[in-house]
Formats: sequence, structure tokens, C-alpha cells
Amino acid sequence: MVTNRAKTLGLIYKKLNDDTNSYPWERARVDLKNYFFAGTFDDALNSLTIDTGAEASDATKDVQGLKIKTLAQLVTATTCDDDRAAIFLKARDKDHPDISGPAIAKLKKALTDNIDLAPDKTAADINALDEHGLEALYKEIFRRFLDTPEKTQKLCDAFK
Amino acid sequence: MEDRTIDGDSSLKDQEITLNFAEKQGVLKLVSYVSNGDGEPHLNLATFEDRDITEVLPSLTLTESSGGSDVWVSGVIKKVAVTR
Repeated sequence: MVTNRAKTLGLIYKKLNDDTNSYPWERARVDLKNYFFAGTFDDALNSLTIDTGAEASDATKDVQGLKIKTLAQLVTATTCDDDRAAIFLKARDKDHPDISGPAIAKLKKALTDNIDLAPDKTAADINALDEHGLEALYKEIFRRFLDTPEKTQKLCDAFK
Repeated sequence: MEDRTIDGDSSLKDQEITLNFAEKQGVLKLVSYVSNGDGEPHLNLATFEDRDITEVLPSLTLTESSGGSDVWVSGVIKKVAVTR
């Protein structure tokens, strides 16, 4: 099951940089369904001949590793997660623009002040983002630097 | 979905800390955690799904349990359950 899931995931990753004409959402949805079913018990029964430990090991070679973290790093990440959740809750408070406005401005300023974390974005790009766009960009950045959390610490500090 | 491998020669506690770190830092939620089989190197495959950025997840705990999945722990395959 691990082998098949990793193979299917690898196929999806290879297509992620394709333009939307050659890899539209409809095809991505089919691939995601395949990814889901590749991890099911039925799929495992269908692939008993290939589901060996060695092949599973080969298939996970293309998956990015995550370094072991310390308790101190976890505590810092938990604080950052709590602060990030709190400011995004404020940003979503559309009934109170006096609360959501400053929160969105704070989220944008943190990104523009640390624009090196999003090298494909300009300050104008960031200022044009709505709350959903900001959420997507923050997720992308924090996931990209999972093994170097010190690089995103300034963002965490800005959430306070 | 986001997959990451974790060193299976590390202790269960270190793996637990690392998985919790990934969830908190990466705005992720663990959906499965299994060994890469009996090959070398000893790796465990963590599969995460996206979660809402305002959701505060309870911490997860890894415990040895006969009902768990095969996971490398300190270089040995053990049955490990993930709970919150």
C-alpha cells in the first residue's frame, strides 16, 4: 500500500508545474482519487506481488524527509500555531471590519517585511491577496521551511 | 496531501515530537503513519492532509499497541497506534 501510494503521489507531483491546459483540475481530481484508492485494502490485495518492503523503500525515496525535531522546537511551533490561528480568526471576522481590517493588514505586512520567503511574489501581489489568498501563501511558506523553522520565526513573531 | 519520511532509527518520543511539530508548524493533520516495509534505510511514511489555519489540533500521541500499524521505532518494527 505504501508503494502504490508513494508512486501515485510521485505522478501527481510531476504534473504540478504543468499549465492548467495540460493538467486541468478534472485530471488532478482523478489522480487524487487514485491516490486515495492506492492506500486501500482492496488495492493492497490487487498488488500483493509488488508490495514488498524493498519496493516500498524504493517508492519512498522520492518523498522528502523530515528531520527529527526537539521539544523546544515543538513548543515554539505550538505557540506560533496558536498565534497564527488567532490572527486569522480576526481576519475572518467580516462583521467587525475594525477587527478584520487591522488583522489582514498585519498579515500582509509580515509577508512584505519578509518577502524573501516568497521569492515569486511582489509587495503588490501580497497587497492584492484576500484572506483566502493569504492563508494559502502562509501555508505554502510554512510547509516549504518545515526543516528550517528559524527562517519563518519572524512571521511567528509578527503574529503576536 | 503531503507525505514526509521520518527516521525510523529514532525513538518513539522523538517521532511523536516531530509529527506534532509538522502538524503545528505546517498547518497539517496526520492521516496515516506506517513503516516503509522491512528495507533499508528504516523510514516511516507520514501522510498529512490540509487543515484550516484557524483549527487548533489536540496533540497526537504514539503508543505501542497490538492494534496499531507497523512503524520503525529505534530501528525495530513495532505496532504503533496514533491517538489524540
